[in-house]
Amino acid sequence: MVVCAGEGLLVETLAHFRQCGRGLDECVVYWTGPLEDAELADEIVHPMHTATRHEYVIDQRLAVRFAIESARGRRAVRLQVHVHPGLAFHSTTDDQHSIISKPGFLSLVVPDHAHGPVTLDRCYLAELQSDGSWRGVPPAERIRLAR
Amino acid sequence: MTGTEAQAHKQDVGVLYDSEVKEFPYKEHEKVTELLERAKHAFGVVSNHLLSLFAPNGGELPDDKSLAAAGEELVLGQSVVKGG
Repeated sequence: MVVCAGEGLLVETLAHFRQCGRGLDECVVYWTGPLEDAELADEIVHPMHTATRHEYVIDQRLAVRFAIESARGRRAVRLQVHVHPGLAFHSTTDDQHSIISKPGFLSLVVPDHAHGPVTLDRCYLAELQSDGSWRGVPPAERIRLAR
Repeated sequence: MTGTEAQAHKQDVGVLYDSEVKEFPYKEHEKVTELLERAKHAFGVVSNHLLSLFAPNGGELPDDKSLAAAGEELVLGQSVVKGG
């Protein structure tokens, strides 16, 4: 799967992480796009969640509501993005609790509480494989940012 | 129409996942876990035993219960959406 988005979506994502996480806690956003264009991501959803330095959790009832509202709006999640306090990697928790569990789904992890000059090549991108495992892929191979 | 009559007329259960709805034939004595497995297979969900079926209000359906008490529209989703 490839995700095409404007650079502004990454900038907005990092702003959410800095504001919500405050350099202390994890945070998550979803890049969403219209069903009619499977590669396009043109909006960010910042779901209500609880968080600590090492975890975020989304309220289940809100997750169900989000699923219903996305379908009604003919939109889908293209990319899951969350922030880590230090190194970017895909943890066991990330592997087991992603919002979508279909092959090709992409999950991006941003390092260092999104502080400093964050570019895609400093992030870790994991792709769900058909056997249920996650494999790291170079972000530039799957995420295309347009100016 | 009473609840019992509505159940008698129930023919399909719609399951939503990843903004797609699939219809599954209603089987009165089927347990939630059986529909869950059918839905996971139909949607191509891979290697994830942590998914559940939910009512539209967000209530999680117990796996071992009968579908008879479930509504006609359900949502397939993670039991817990989290990361770390």
